[in-house]
Amino acid sequence: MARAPFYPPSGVYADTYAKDIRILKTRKQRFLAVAGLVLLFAVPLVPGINSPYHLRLLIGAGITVIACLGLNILTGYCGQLNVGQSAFVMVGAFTSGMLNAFLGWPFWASVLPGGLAAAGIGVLFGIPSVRLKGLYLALTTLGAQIILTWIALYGITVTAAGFAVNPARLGGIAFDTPQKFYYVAMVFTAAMTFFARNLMRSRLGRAFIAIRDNDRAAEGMGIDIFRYKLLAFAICTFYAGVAGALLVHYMMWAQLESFTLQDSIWYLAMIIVGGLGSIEGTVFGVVFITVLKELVLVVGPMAQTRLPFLPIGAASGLLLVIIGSIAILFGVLEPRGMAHRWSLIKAFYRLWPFGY
Amino acid sequence: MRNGTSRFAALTLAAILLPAVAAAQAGEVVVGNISAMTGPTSGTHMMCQAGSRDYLEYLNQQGGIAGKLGKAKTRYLAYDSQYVATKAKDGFARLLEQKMAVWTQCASAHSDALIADYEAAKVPLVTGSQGIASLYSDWAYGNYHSGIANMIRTWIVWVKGEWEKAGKPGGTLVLGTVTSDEPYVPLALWDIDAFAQQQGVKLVKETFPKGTTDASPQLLRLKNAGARQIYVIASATGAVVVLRSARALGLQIPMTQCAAATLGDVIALGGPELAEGYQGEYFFEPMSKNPALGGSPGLKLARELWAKNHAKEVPNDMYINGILSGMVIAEGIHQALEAVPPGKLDGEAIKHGLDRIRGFDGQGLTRPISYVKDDHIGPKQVRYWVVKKGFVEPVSEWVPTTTYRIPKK
Repeated sequence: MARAPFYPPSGVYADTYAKDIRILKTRKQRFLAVAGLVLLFAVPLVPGINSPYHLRLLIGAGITVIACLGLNILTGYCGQLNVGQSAFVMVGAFTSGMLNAFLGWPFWASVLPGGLAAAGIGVLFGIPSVRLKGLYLALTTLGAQIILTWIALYGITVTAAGFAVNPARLGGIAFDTPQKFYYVAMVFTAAMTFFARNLMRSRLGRAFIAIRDNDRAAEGMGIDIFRYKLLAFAICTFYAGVAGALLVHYMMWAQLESFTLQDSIWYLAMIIVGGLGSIEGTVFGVVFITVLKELVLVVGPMAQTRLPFLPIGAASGLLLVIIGSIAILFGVLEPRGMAHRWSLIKAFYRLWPFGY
Repeated sequence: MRNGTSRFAALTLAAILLPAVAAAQAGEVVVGNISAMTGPTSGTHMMCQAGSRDYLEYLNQQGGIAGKLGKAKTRYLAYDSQYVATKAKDGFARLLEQKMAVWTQCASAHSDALIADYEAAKVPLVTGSQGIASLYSDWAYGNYHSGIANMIRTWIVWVKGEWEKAGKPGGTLVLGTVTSDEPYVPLALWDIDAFAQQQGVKLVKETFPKGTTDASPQLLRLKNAGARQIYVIASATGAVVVLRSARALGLQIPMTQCAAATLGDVIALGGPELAEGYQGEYFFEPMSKNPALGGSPGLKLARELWAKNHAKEVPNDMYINGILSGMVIAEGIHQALEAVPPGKLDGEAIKHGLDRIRGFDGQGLTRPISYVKDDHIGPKQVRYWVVKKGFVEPVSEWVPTTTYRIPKK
């Protein structure tokens, strides 16, 4: 989980505290960041990759990044295992969706309540973390997945049946197509990624890391374990809630089947493959798994048609086996995730040709 | 060796990808399928997909679908949604880019989740599995019974009718339901107490957790409540649990499986002996029908297609569901070709064709389907069947379904 140290290019050093705490330390980094953002927001204008299909994939990845960032803050940075993240996404989704569909709240006003509702429920399920760790805590979050799904299924009739949600609007613009909603999704994704990155450099983030590394030592240093663990749960599930709010307004439909235990497992797989305790690792993991899954979803049906000697369903199933194998290989060959590999590549580049 | 393997892999991938990405040719209608090809529901979905794909391919081999203004062939493209709504939306966008003009699925949740997409894109949906909101859509066409909430309602009306014919034994009709704890169950039981009360029937409901291996307590309570018949709302696995528990208890109460699973699935999973006497409802003529009873021309064709394409596999009733969707799509295209030439067959033209369908019964596979304004539900009739010696035989005539609709919001 430890990150590779930052190696600034030769001659770049901080002579003030303000310079030292900058996220983007060099002019080149700032230029690349701005260029990256420009490119990100220019995607809907680029022929070839601006098709609704590609944009939908990117929107889906953006929303998943938000949910996974929350999970990585809780699990990767604070060390508290959560296997029920998609249930908290569901809380945000249904809260925001119902406020919009039944009370007429606009998207912009319903996102925050969606996040807060999820955070409130998340804190409730986080309370056992004071006494429980590891797999035992995982069981309580698994309980959250089961209980919250049960409530949505049997306790609230509209969530069991599914309901239509109005698209996000700003003035006269309705964000009801992938081309338009892309901007909404990416603004939220970029802002929440930046927030997460900053948060982890703050006192709060350092407290989370201290708790993860050794909670007794952290307590000995004066960190209020209970408070910080609950804060981690609140932040994690707030992120999930915002992701859920975005999801239902993007889909313009809210339904229970979108929030399953399987989704929670995928979220965990994404942050493990990307790198636990790493913001950029979260993005890498989401992109990597999204691309792999898409290969299965596209190539599987094609293979089914073109290889008729295979039994019904075998081609898609085999591709899932391949995904599973890749995940295992990652675990064996690069347990610290793609983020670690990325750090090594960056360090090699910065230190070249004196990388010894 | 390594180069050879890589070359083989590359060639295989190219063989898979290249023909599929080729653009649709003039007069060729792209039929999309978005359903779960992987995951827990894939068994059912894949059978539906195989049915519609095989039937449309069969028509292609016969020279295409003929109409007054020409002939059209179809190109069948599928996308694996894993039964996830967001992925289904991605798939819809992808297939739309591949010029999809009509689409089909066997995933009721997708019929609702994609409403905004297929209505905006003007691509009609033909399906044997509908959700709730899509029953209201002008762009969704069912070859189904009248929605999930009508399965048990229709059964109650049928059993009540039989009970009345028998002289109302016992004075009050007590019926039971045993349901597994699955997502669609609340929808299947939507507002059912009010309906039972209206019918003058006492309904006793029991639920068993998904994954359990014993439903004896639930069945015992139903027996003690005096249930004359029991309706099982569960997957085939759940049905086998119920049947095993009933056998262990020596329970003689007739039981009927809802359309969430077929009797064929239950026979395959639990064996013919366990399934003996188990009833089920179908809106089509099942593959597992006793061959000695003959069958419609549609069933004969379905069995031939199965033998040709999947000879090594066990036939499945849901294959007929897919065949029916393929037949409705083909009939819609046929009707559309009465008004437009093959080169102009887009979603709107096919919708107009579907709107013209009257009294279409899929070569006898189902009851006549007519699509009229505000009613695209389909045959609206089911038939009850019973397992006898590993096959199914009809136990009722075709029964009109109830037509209750769960409110859209």
